[in-house]
Amino acid sequence: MSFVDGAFVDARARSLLPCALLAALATAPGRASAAACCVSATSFGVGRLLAWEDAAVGVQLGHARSLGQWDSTGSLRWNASDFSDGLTTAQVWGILRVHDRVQAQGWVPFVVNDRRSAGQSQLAGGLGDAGAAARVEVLKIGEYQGIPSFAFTIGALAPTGKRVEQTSPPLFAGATGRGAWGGSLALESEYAFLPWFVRLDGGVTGYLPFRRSDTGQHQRYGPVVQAGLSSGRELLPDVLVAAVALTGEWESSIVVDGDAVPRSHSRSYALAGSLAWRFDPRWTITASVHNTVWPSGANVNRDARLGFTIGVRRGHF
Amino acid sequence: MATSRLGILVLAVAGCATARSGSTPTGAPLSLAAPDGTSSTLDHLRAGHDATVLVFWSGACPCVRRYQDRVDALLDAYPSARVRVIGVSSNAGETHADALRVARERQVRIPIFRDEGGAVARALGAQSTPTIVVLDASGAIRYRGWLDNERLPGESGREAWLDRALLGLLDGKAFQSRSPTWGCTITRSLFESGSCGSHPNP
Repeated sequence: MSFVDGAFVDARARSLLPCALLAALATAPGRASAAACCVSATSFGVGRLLAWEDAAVGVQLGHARSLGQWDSTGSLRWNASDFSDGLTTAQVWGILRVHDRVQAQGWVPFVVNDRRSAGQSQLAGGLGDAGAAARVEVLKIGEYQGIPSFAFTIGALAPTGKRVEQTSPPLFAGATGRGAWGGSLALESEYAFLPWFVRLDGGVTGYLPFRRSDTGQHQRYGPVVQAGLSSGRELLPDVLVAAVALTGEWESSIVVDGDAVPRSHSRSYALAGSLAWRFDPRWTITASVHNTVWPSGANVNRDARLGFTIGVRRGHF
Repeated sequence: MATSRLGILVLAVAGCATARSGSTPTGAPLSLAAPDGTSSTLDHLRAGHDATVLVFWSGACPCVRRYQDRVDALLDAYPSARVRVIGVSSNAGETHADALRVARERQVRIPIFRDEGGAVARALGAQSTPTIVVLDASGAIRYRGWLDNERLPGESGREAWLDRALLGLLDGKAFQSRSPTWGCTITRSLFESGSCGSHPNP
Protein backbone atom coordinates (compact mmCIF):
# COMPACT_ATOMS: atom_id res chain seq x y z
CA MET A 1 0.00 0.00 0.00
CA SER A 2 1.30 3.38 -0.88
CA PHE A 3 -0.39 6.57 0.06
CA VAL A 4 0.63 8.27 -3.13
CA ASP A 5 -0.67 5.34 -5.04
CA GLY A 6 -3.64 6.27 -7.11
CA ALA A 7 -5.37 3.08 -6.21
CA PHE A 8 -5.21 3.97 -2.58
CA VAL A 9 -6.40 7.51 -3.07
CA ASP A 10 -9.22 6.51 -5.31
CA ALA A 11 -10.31 3.50 -3.43
CA ARG A 12 -11.87 5.14 -0.47
CA ALA A 13 -12.92 1.78 0.49
CA ARG A 14 -10.83 -1.11 1.52
CA SER A 15 -12.66 -4.01 2.64
CA LEU A 16 -13.45 -6.59 5.16
CA LEU A 17 -11.40 -9.70 5.03
CA PRO A 18 -13.49 -12.79 4.53
CA CYS A 19 -13.61 -15.20 7.38
CA ALA A 20 -11.94 -17.77 5.22
CA LEU A 21 -8.88 -15.61 4.95
CA LEU A 22 -8.67 -15.19 8.70
CA ALA A 23 -8.99 -18.90 9.09
CA ALA A 24 -6.18 -19.41 6.65
CA LEU A 25 -4.02 -16.98 8.57
CA ALA A 26 -4.65 -18.75 11.80
CA THR A 27 -4.12 -22.25 10.58
CA ALA A 28 -1.23 -21.81 8.17
CA PRO A 29 1.98 -23.71 8.87
CA GLY A 30 4.04 -21.97 11.49
CA ARG A 31 7.44 -22.63 10.03
CA ALA A 32 7.07 -20.90 6.73
CA SER A 33 10.43 -19.62 5.63
CA ALA A 34 9.98 -16.04 4.62
CA ALA A 35 12.18 -13.23 3.48
CA ALA A 36 11.79 -10.06 5.46
CA CYS A 37 12.54 -8.01 2.39
CA CYS A 38 9.66 -9.22 0.36
CA VAL A 39 6.73 -10.48 2.39
CA SER A 40 4.62 -7.33 2.09
CA ALA A 41 6.01 -5.99 -1.19
CA THR A 42 3.05 -6.90 -3.34
CA SER A 43 0.18 -6.97 -0.87
CA PHE A 44 -1.47 -3.61 -1.54
CA GLY A 45 -1.39 -1.07 -4.33
CA VAL A 46 1.70 -0.52 -6.41
CA GLY A 47 3.89 -1.80 -3.62
CA ARG A 48 7.63 -1.96 -4.04
CA LEU A 49 10.30 -3.96 -5.76
CA LEU A 50 11.49 -7.28 -4.46
CA ALA A 51 15.09 -7.33 -3.34
CA TRP A 52 16.39 -8.86 -6.56
CA GLU A 53 14.31 -6.86 -9.02
CA ASP A 54 15.38 -3.96 -11.19
CA ALA A 55 11.88 -3.01 -12.25
CA ALA A 56 8.29 -4.16 -12.22
CA VAL A 57 5.16 -3.36 -14.15
CA GLY A 58 1.59 -4.30 -13.50
CA VAL A 59 -2.03 -3.66 -14.07
CA GLN A 60 -4.82 -3.64 -11.52
CA LEU A 61 -8.47 -3.99 -12.35
CA GLY A 62 -11.02 -3.02 -9.79
CA HIS A 63 -14.69 -2.62 -9.33
CA ALA A 64 -16.59 -1.14 -6.44
CA ARG A 65 -20.24 -0.47 -5.93
CA SER A 66 -21.79 2.20 -3.83
CA LEU A 67 -24.10 0.88 -1.18
CA GLY A 68 -24.92 4.27 0.27
CA GLN A 69 -23.65 7.69 1.17
CA TRP A 70 -22.12 8.98 4.33
CA ASP A 71 -23.54 12.47 4.82
CA SER A 72 -21.95 15.46 6.52
CA THR A 73 -23.28 14.38 9.90
CA GLY A 74 -21.83 10.89 9.64
CA SER A 75 -25.12 9.17 8.92
CA LEU A 76 -25.14 6.37 6.44
CA ARG A 77 -27.97 6.67 3.98
CA TRP A 78 -28.48 3.53 1.99
CA ASN A 79 -29.02 3.96 -1.70
CA ALA A 80 -32.58 3.98 -2.98
CA SER A 81 -33.67 0.98 -4.96
CA ASP A 82 -33.60 2.97 -8.18
CA PHE A 83 -30.07 4.27 -7.59
CA SER A 84 -26.94 2.50 -8.65
CA ASP A 85 -23.34 3.72 -8.77
CA GLY A 86 -20.43 1.57 -9.87
CA LEU A 87 -16.79 2.46 -10.20
CA THR A 88 -14.56 0.39 -12.46
CA THR A 89 -10.85 1.11 -12.60
CA ALA A 90 -7.91 -0.15 -14.57
CA GLN A 91 -4.55 1.08 -13.43
CA VAL A 92 -1.26 0.58 -15.19
CA TRP A 93 1.82 1.10 -13.06
CA GLY A 94 5.54 0.66 -13.05
CA ILE A 95 8.44 0.78 -10.63
CA LEU A 96 12.08 1.31 -11.53
CA ARG A 97 15.05 0.93 -9.22
CA VAL A 98 17.26 3.96 -9.62
CA HIS A 99 19.49 3.22 -6.64
CA ASP A 100 19.85 0.47 -4.10
CA ARG A 101 17.55 2.43 -1.79
CA VAL A 102 15.55 4.53 -4.24
CA GLN A 103 12.68 3.41 -6.43
CA ALA A 104 10.71 5.52 -8.89
CA GLN A 105 7.03 4.74 -9.34
CA GLY A 106 4.42 5.84 -11.81
CA TRP A 107 0.78 4.97 -12.36
CA VAL A 108 -1.95 5.83 -14.82
CA PRO A 109 -5.53 5.00 -13.88
CA PHE A 110 -8.50 4.68 -16.17
CA VAL A 111 -11.88 5.10 -14.58
CA VAL A 112 -15.38 4.20 -15.72
CA ASN A 113 -18.51 5.13 -13.78
CA ASP A 114 -21.83 3.48 -14.36
CA ARG A 115 -24.71 5.31 -12.76
CA ARG A 116 -28.42 4.94 -12.68
CA SER A 117 -30.91 7.12 -10.88
CA ALA A 118 -34.58 7.91 -11.21
CA GLY A 119 -34.93 6.23 -14.54
CA GLN A 120 -31.81 7.78 -16.02
CA SER A 121 -28.53 6.05 -16.60
CA GLN A 122 -25.09 7.06 -17.76
CA LEU A 123 -21.83 5.28 -18.48
CA ALA A 124 -18.73 7.43 -18.90
CA GLY A 125 -15.11 7.57 -17.95
CA GLY A 126 -11.61 8.19 -19.06
CA LEU A 127 -8.18 8.90 -17.76
CA GLY A 128 -7.90 9.39 -14.02
CA ASP A 129 -5.28 11.34 -12.10
CA ALA A 130 -1.88 9.98 -13.08
CA GLY A 131 0.92 10.11 -10.58
CA ALA A 132 4.58 9.55 -10.00
CA ALA A 133 6.66 9.16 -6.87
CA ALA A 134 10.06 8.38 -5.54
CA ARG A 135 10.40 5.97 -2.64
CA VAL A 136 13.50 6.17 -0.49
CA GLU A 137 14.44 3.39 1.91
CA VAL A 138 16.27 4.88 4.83
CA LEU A 139 16.30 1.63 6.78
CA LYS A 140 15.59 -1.54 4.85
CA ILE A 141 13.37 -4.22 6.22
CA GLY A 142 15.51 -6.59 8.24
CA GLU A 143 18.58 -4.40 8.02
CA TYR A 144 18.92 -4.24 11.79
CA GLN A 145 17.60 -6.79 14.20
CA GLY A 146 14.64 -5.49 16.16
CA ILE A 147 14.52 -2.21 14.27
CA PRO A 148 11.63 -1.59 11.89
CA SER A 149 12.26 -0.35 8.41
CA PHE A 150 11.71 3.26 7.53
CA ALA A 151 11.02 4.71 4.12
CA PHE A 152 9.50 7.85 2.75
CA THR A 153 7.83 8.55 -0.54
CA ILE A 154 7.52 11.87 -2.28
CA GLY A 155 4.92 11.98 -5.00
CA ALA A 156 3.05 14.16 -7.43
CA LEU A 157 -0.40 13.85 -8.95
CA ALA A 158 -1.22 15.29 -12.34
CA PRO A 159 -4.64 16.81 -13.15
CA THR A 160 -5.32 14.28 -15.85
CA GLY A 161 -8.64 13.26 -14.39
CA LYS A 162 -11.90 15.11 -14.91
CA ARG A 163 -13.67 16.92 -12.13
CA VAL A 164 -17.42 16.79 -11.76
CA GLU A 165 -17.99 20.22 -13.28
CA GLN A 166 -16.01 19.18 -16.33
CA THR A 167 -18.42 16.38 -17.09
CA SER A 168 -21.82 16.14 -18.62
CA PRO A 169 -25.28 15.60 -17.12
CA PRO A 170 -27.48 13.89 -16.36
CA LEU A 171 -25.45 11.96 -13.79
CA PHE A 172 -21.95 13.38 -14.30
CA ALA A 173 -20.55 9.90 -14.68
CA GLY A 174 -17.51 11.22 -16.52
CA ALA A 175 -15.81 12.36 -13.31
CA THR A 176 -12.57 10.41 -13.14
CA GLY A 177 -10.44 12.26 -10.62
CA ARG A 178 -9.73 15.46 -8.81
CA GLY A 179 -8.25 17.19 -11.80
CA ALA A 180 -5.82 19.21 -9.72
CA TRP A 181 -2.09 19.13 -9.27
CA GLY A 182 -1.16 17.44 -6.06
CA GLY A 183 1.90 16.65 -4.01
CA SER A 184 2.33 14.09 -1.31
CA LEU A 185 4.68 12.91 1.36
CA ALA A 186 4.24 9.49 2.88
CA LEU A 187 6.16 7.70 5.60
CA GLU A 188 6.16 3.98 6.18
CA SER A 189 7.62 1.70 8.75
CA GLU A 190 7.51 -2.06 8.76
CA TYR A 191 8.61 -4.77 11.09
CA ALA A 192 8.92 -8.37 10.07
CA PHE A 193 8.81 -11.20 12.57
CA LEU A 194 8.85 -13.92 10.03
CA PRO A 195 6.64 -15.09 8.54
CA TRP A 196 4.55 -12.19 9.78
CA PHE A 197 4.84 -8.50 9.09
CA VAL A 198 3.19 -5.43 10.52
CA ARG A 199 3.33 -2.09 8.83
CA LEU A 200 2.40 1.48 9.67
CA ASP A 201 1.82 4.12 7.02
CA GLY A 202 1.13 7.81 7.25
CA GLY A 203 0.99 10.53 4.68
CA VAL A 204 -0.40 13.84 3.55
CA THR A 205 -1.48 15.00 0.13
CA GLY A 206 -1.94 18.64 -0.76
CA TYR A 207 -3.51 20.11 -3.87
CA LEU A 208 -2.94 23.28 -5.83
CA PRO A 209 -5.91 25.54 -6.54
CA PHE A 210 -7.62 25.49 -9.90
CA ARG A 211 -10.22 27.56 -11.66
CA ARG A 212 -13.60 25.92 -12.02
CA SER A 213 -14.71 25.80 -15.61
CA ASP A 214 -18.36 26.34 -14.72
CA THR A 215 -18.25 29.24 -12.27
CA GLY A 216 -14.79 30.69 -12.81
CA GLN A 217 -14.13 30.46 -9.09
CA HIS A 218 -10.82 29.39 -7.63
CA GLN A 219 -11.21 26.14 -5.78
CA ARG A 220 -8.80 24.19 -3.70
CA TYR A 221 -9.21 20.77 -2.18
CA GLY A 222 -8.28 20.54 1.44
CA PRO A 223 -5.19 18.58 2.40
CA VAL A 224 -5.77 14.89 2.86
CA VAL A 225 -4.16 13.04 5.74
CA GLN A 226 -3.91 9.31 5.45
CA ALA A 227 -2.88 6.59 7.87
CA GLY A 228 -2.88 2.85 7.69
CA LEU A 229 -2.04 -0.19 9.71
CA SER A 230 -1.55 -3.47 7.91
CA SER A 231 -0.38 -6.90 8.79
CA GLY A 232 -0.01 -10.21 7.08
CA ARG A 233 1.88 -13.41 6.82
CA GLU A 234 3.48 -15.60 4.27
CA LEU A 235 1.35 -18.70 3.93
CA LEU A 236 3.59 -20.46 1.43
CA PRO A 237 7.27 -19.53 1.41
CA ASP A 238 8.05 -17.04 -1.33
CA VAL A 239 4.72 -17.83 -2.99
CA LEU A 240 1.58 -16.77 -1.12
CA VAL A 241 1.03 -13.85 1.23
CA ALA A 242 -2.21 -12.83 2.93
CA ALA A 243 -2.66 -9.43 4.48
CA VAL A 244 -5.23 -7.14 6.05
CA ALA A 245 -5.19 -3.37 6.30
CA LEU A 246 -7.12 -0.77 8.21
CA THR A 247 -6.82 2.67 6.69
CA GLY A 248 -8.13 6.09 7.50
CA GLU A 249 -8.38 9.23 5.45
CA TRP A 250 -9.23 12.70 6.65
CA GLU A 251 -9.79 15.55 4.24
CA SER A 252 -10.20 19.20 5.16
CA SER A 253 -12.90 21.40 3.74
CA ILE A 254 -12.87 22.58 0.16
CA VAL A 255 -11.92 26.23 -0.22
CA VAL A 256 -13.64 28.33 -2.88
CA ASP A 257 -12.39 31.87 -3.52
CA GLY A 258 -10.71 31.84 -0.15
CA ASP A 259 -13.69 30.65 1.86
CA ALA A 260 -14.02 27.18 3.29
CA VAL A 261 -17.17 25.47 2.15
CA PRO A 262 -19.16 24.46 5.25
CA ARG A 263 -19.47 20.77 5.96
CA SER A 264 -17.33 19.80 2.96
CA HIS A 265 -14.72 17.97 4.99
CA SER A 266 -14.71 14.22 4.83
CA ARG A 267 -13.55 11.21 6.76
CA SER A 268 -13.30 7.62 5.74
CA TYR A 269 -12.15 4.40 7.32
CA ALA A 270 -11.66 1.31 5.26
CA LEU A 271 -10.81 -2.31 5.83
CA ALA A 272 -9.11 -4.39 3.19
CA GLY A 273 -7.83 -7.89 2.76
CA SER A 274 -5.49 -9.16 0.11
CA LEU A 275 -3.80 -12.22 -1.28
CA ALA A 276 -0.63 -12.08 -3.35
CA TRP A 277 0.32 -15.23 -5.20
CA ARG A 278 3.77 -15.32 -6.80
CA PHE A 279 3.21 -18.32 -9.03
CA ASP A 280 6.45 -17.65 -10.87
CA PRO A 281 9.53 -15.76 -9.65
CA ARG A 282 8.63 -13.01 -12.10
CA TRP A 283 4.85 -13.07 -11.97
CA THR A 284 2.47 -12.28 -9.16
CA ILE A 285 -1.30 -12.24 -9.11
CA THR A 286 -2.95 -10.08 -6.50
CA ALA A 287 -6.50 -9.90 -5.29
CA SER A 288 -8.08 -7.73 -2.67
CA VAL A 289 -11.47 -6.83 -1.26
CA HIS A 290 -12.25 -3.54 0.39
CA ASN A 291 -15.07 -2.02 2.30
CA THR A 292 -16.13 1.31 3.78
CA VAL A 293 -19.44 0.24 5.21
CA TRP A 294 -19.45 0.82 8.96
CA PRO A 295 -21.92 1.65 11.68
CA SER A 296 -23.27 5.18 11.48
CA GLY A 297 -20.94 7.92 12.61
CA ALA A 298 -17.76 6.42 11.28
CA ASN A 299 -17.39 8.10 7.93
CA VAL A 300 -18.36 11.54 6.69
CA ASN A 301 -19.14 12.82 3.19
CA ARG A 302 -17.97 9.75 1.37
CA ASP A 303 -19.46 6.89 -0.54
CA ALA A 304 -19.99 3.65 1.30
CA ARG A 305 -18.50 1.15 -1.09
CA LEU A 306 -17.74 -2.49 -1.35
CA GLY A 307 -15.31 -3.60 -3.99
CA PHE A 308 -12.50 -5.76 -5.14
CA THR A 309 -9.35 -5.57 -7.22
CA ILE A 310 -7.39 -8.12 -9.13
CA GLY A 311 -3.99 -7.47 -10.55
CA VAL A 312 -1.05 -8.99 -12.26
CA ARG A 313 2.53 -7.95 -11.71
CA ARG A 314 5.68 -8.79 -13.60
CA GLY A 315 9.07 -8.23 -12.07
CA HIS A 316 12.13 -7.66 -14.21
CA PHE A 317 15.53 -8.86 -13.11
CA MET B 1 21.32 -6.29 -17.39
CA ALA B 2 23.07 -3.70 -19.56
CA THR B 3 23.62 -1.57 -16.50
CA SER B 4 25.06 -4.52 -14.69
CA ARG B 5 27.48 -5.23 -17.48
CA LEU B 6 28.60 -1.63 -17.55
CA GLY B 7 29.17 -1.84 -13.83
CA ILE B 8 31.21 -4.96 -14.28
CA LEU B 9 33.37 -3.30 -16.90
CA VAL B 10 33.96 -0.38 -14.62
CA LEU B 11 34.72 -2.54 -11.65
CA ALA B 12 36.64 -5.23 -13.46
CA VAL B 13 40.18 -5.47 -12.33
CA ALA B 14 42.61 -8.27 -12.93
CA GLY B 15 42.30 -10.17 -9.71
CA CYS B 16 44.81 -8.00 -7.95
CA ALA B 17 43.02 -7.66 -4.65
CA THR B 18 45.19 -7.25 -1.63
CA ALA B 19 42.68 -6.72 1.16
CA ARG B 20 43.31 -9.20 3.95
CA SER B 21 40.44 -10.97 5.58
CA GLY B 22 41.68 -12.74 8.63
CA SER B 23 40.93 -10.18 11.28
CA THR B 24 38.47 -7.53 12.31
CA PRO B 25 39.32 -3.83 12.04
CA THR B 26 40.50 -4.05 15.65
CA GLY B 27 42.86 -6.88 14.82
CA ALA B 28 40.92 -9.66 16.49
CA PRO B 29 40.87 -12.89 14.47
CA LEU B 30 37.66 -13.62 12.61
CA SER B 31 36.01 -16.78 13.80
CA LEU B 32 33.13 -18.95 12.71
CA ALA B 33 31.19 -21.65 14.52
CA ALA B 34 31.22 -24.96 12.70
CA PRO B 35 28.09 -27.08 12.30
CA ASP B 36 29.28 -29.20 15.24
CA GLY B 37 29.49 -26.11 17.41
CA THR B 38 33.25 -25.84 17.55
CA SER B 39 34.84 -22.51 16.78
CA SER B 40 37.43 -21.94 14.07
CA THR B 41 39.22 -18.89 12.87
CA LEU B 42 38.85 -17.90 9.25
CA ASP B 43 42.60 -18.29 8.85
CA HIS B 44 42.36 -21.86 10.12
CA LEU B 45 39.47 -22.69 7.79
CA ARG B 46 41.26 -21.54 4.70
CA ALA B 47 44.65 -22.99 5.63
CA GLY B 48 45.97 -25.38 2.99
CA HIS B 49 43.49 -24.34 0.33
CA ASP B 50 44.24 -22.32 -2.76
CA ALA B 51 40.78 -20.82 -2.60
CA THR B 52 38.12 -20.57 0.08
CA VAL B 53 34.61 -19.80 -1.12
CA LEU B 54 32.33 -18.25 1.49
CA VAL B 55 28.68 -18.25 0.52
CA PHE B 56 26.74 -15.88 2.74
CA TRP B 57 23.67 -17.87 3.50
CA SER B 58 20.25 -17.45 5.02
CA GLY B 59 17.47 -19.91 5.50
CA ALA B 60 14.93 -17.16 4.88
CA CYS B 61 16.22 -15.73 1.61
CA PRO B 62 14.50 -16.88 -1.59
CA CYS B 63 17.61 -16.10 -3.63
CA VAL B 64 19.68 -18.45 -1.48
CA ARG B 65 17.12 -21.17 -1.99
CA ARG B 66 17.08 -20.71 -5.76
CA TYR B 67 20.84 -20.86 -5.97
CA GLN B 68 21.41 -23.73 -3.59
CA ASP B 69 21.85 -26.41 -6.26
CA ARG B 70 24.46 -24.37 -8.05
CA VAL B 71 26.23 -23.62 -4.81
CA ASP B 72 26.24 -27.29 -3.84
CA ALA B 73 27.56 -28.16 -7.29
CA LEU B 74 30.73 -26.24 -6.47
CA LEU B 75 31.65 -29.14 -4.20
CA ASP B 76 31.80 -31.42 -7.25
CA ALA B 77 33.24 -28.92 -9.69
CA TYR B 78 36.44 -28.18 -7.82
CA PRO B 79 38.86 -30.44 -5.97
CA SER B 80 38.20 -30.16 -2.27
CA ALA B 81 41.91 -30.18 -1.57
CA ARG B 82 42.30 -26.90 -3.41
CA VAL B 83 38.92 -25.21 -3.01
CA ARG B 84 36.95 -25.12 0.20
CA VAL B 85 33.29 -24.09 0.04
CA ILE B 86 31.38 -23.12 3.15
CA GLY B 87 28.12 -21.39 3.89
CA VAL B 88 28.16 -18.51 6.35
CA SER B 89 25.08 -17.57 8.32
CA SER B 90 25.47 -13.96 9.46
CA ASN B 91 21.89 -12.79 9.99
CA ALA B 92 21.45 -11.39 13.48
CA GLY B 93 17.96 -12.76 13.68
CA GLU B 94 18.82 -16.28 12.63
CA THR B 95 20.37 -18.72 15.08
CA HIS B 96 22.82 -21.37 14.04
CA ALA B 97 20.29 -24.01 15.01
CA ASP B 98 17.69 -22.41 12.73
CA ALA B 99 20.11 -22.26 9.84
CA LEU B 100 21.21 -25.86 10.32
CA ARG B 101 17.62 -27.05 10.59
CA VAL B 102 16.66 -25.35 7.33
CA ALA B 103 19.82 -26.64 5.66
CA ARG B 104 18.99 -30.18 6.75
CA GLU B 105 15.42 -29.86 5.52
CA ARG B 106 16.65 -28.73 2.12
CA GLN B 107 19.44 -31.28 2.05
CA VAL B 108 22.02 -28.55 1.62
CA ARG B 109 25.44 -30.09 1.05
CA ILE B 110 27.76 -27.24 1.94
CA PRO B 111 28.53 -26.92 5.66
CA ILE B 112 26.84 -23.95 7.28
CA PHE B 113 29.05 -22.03 9.66
CA ARG B 114 27.76 -19.36 12.00
CA ASP B 115 29.09 -15.83 11.92
CA GLU B 116 27.87 -14.71 15.33
CA GLY B 117 27.70 -10.94 15.46
CA GLY B 118 28.23 -10.65 11.72
CA ALA B 119 31.91 -9.76 12.05
CA VAL B 120 32.94 -11.91 9.08
CA ALA B 121 30.25 -10.39 6.84
CA ARG B 122 31.33 -6.90 7.79
CA ALA B 123 35.00 -7.62 7.35
CA LEU B 124 34.45 -9.17 3.94
CA GLY B 125 31.96 -6.57 2.77
CA ALA B 126 29.02 -8.93 2.41
CA GLN B 127 25.76 -7.06 2.82
CA SER B 128 23.28 -9.47 1.31
CA THR B 129 22.68 -13.15 0.72
CA PRO B 130 23.80 -15.04 -1.29
CA THR B 131 26.89 -12.87 -1.72
CA ILE B 132 29.98 -14.97 -2.42
CA VAL B 133 33.49 -14.05 -1.30
CA VAL B 134 36.60 -15.90 -2.44
CA LEU B 135 39.78 -15.80 -0.40
CA ASP B 136 43.12 -16.92 -1.75
CA ALA B 137 45.73 -18.91 0.11
CA SER B 138 47.05 -15.80 1.79
CA GLY B 139 43.62 -14.74 2.97
CA ALA B 140 43.27 -11.91 0.49
CA ILE B 141 39.82 -11.21 -0.88
CA ARG B 142 39.98 -12.11 -4.56
CA TYR B 143 36.32 -12.07 -5.55
CA ARG B 144 33.12 -10.68 -4.17
CA GLY B 145 29.81 -10.87 -5.92
CA TRP B 146 27.19 -13.32 -7.14
CA LEU B 147 27.69 -16.78 -8.50
CA ASP B 148 26.68 -15.66 -11.99
CA ASN B 149 24.62 -13.02 -13.72
CA GLU B 150 21.34 -14.85 -13.29
CA ARG B 151 18.92 -13.93 -10.60
CA LEU B 152 16.80 -16.87 -11.60
CA PRO B 153 18.94 -19.92 -12.38
CA GLY B 154 18.31 -21.23 -15.85
CA GLU B 155 18.10 -17.98 -17.74
CA SER B 156 19.79 -17.72 -21.09
CA GLY B 157 23.09 -15.92 -21.50
CA ARG B 158 24.67 -17.13 -18.31
CA GLU B 159 27.96 -15.55 -17.34
CA ALA B 160 29.71 -17.73 -14.80
CA TRP B 161 31.34 -15.03 -12.74
CA LEU B 162 32.40 -17.19 -9.83
CA ASP B 163 33.72 -20.00 -12.05
CA ARG B 164 35.81 -17.51 -13.98
CA ALA B 165 37.20 -16.11 -10.76
CA LEU B 166 38.00 -19.52 -9.31
CA LEU B 167 39.56 -20.82 -12.51
CA GLY B 168 41.53 -17.62 -12.84
CA LEU B 169 42.72 -17.85 -9.27
CA LEU B 170 43.68 -21.52 -9.56
CA ASP B 171 45.39 -21.07 -12.91
CA GLY B 172 47.03 -17.78 -12.12
CA LYS B 173 45.14 -15.88 -14.79
CA ALA B 174 43.42 -12.53 -14.74
CA PHE B 175 39.78 -12.42 -13.73
CA GLN B 176 37.11 -10.00 -12.73
CA SER B 177 37.21 -9.55 -8.98
CA ARG B 178 33.81 -8.01 -8.38
CA SER B 179 30.31 -8.47 -9.67
CA PRO B 180 26.95 -7.01 -8.78
CA THR B 181 25.04 -8.47 -5.89
CA TRP B 182 21.33 -8.56 -5.23
CA GLY B 183 19.45 -10.64 -2.73
CA CYS B 184 18.32 -10.26 0.84
CA THR B 185 19.88 -7.78 3.22
CA ILE B 186 21.97 -9.40 5.94
CA THR B 187 20.34 -8.45 9.22
CA ARG B 188 22.74 -6.81 11.61
CA SER B 189 22.46 -6.02 15.28
CA LEU B 190 22.75 -2.47 16.51
CA PHE B 191 24.54 -3.80 19.52
CA GLU B 192 27.24 -5.85 17.85
CA SER B 193 30.77 -4.58 18.19
CA GLY B 194 32.18 -2.82 15.19
CA SER B 195 28.85 -2.53 13.44
CA CYS B 196 30.18 0.50 11.65
CA GLY B 197 33.41 -1.21 10.67
CA SER B 198 34.98 -0.75 7.29
CA HIS B 199 34.24 -2.95 4.31
CA PRO B 200 37.49 -3.75 2.52
CA ASN B 201 37.19 -3.53 -1.21
CA PRO B 202 39.11 -5.76 -3.53
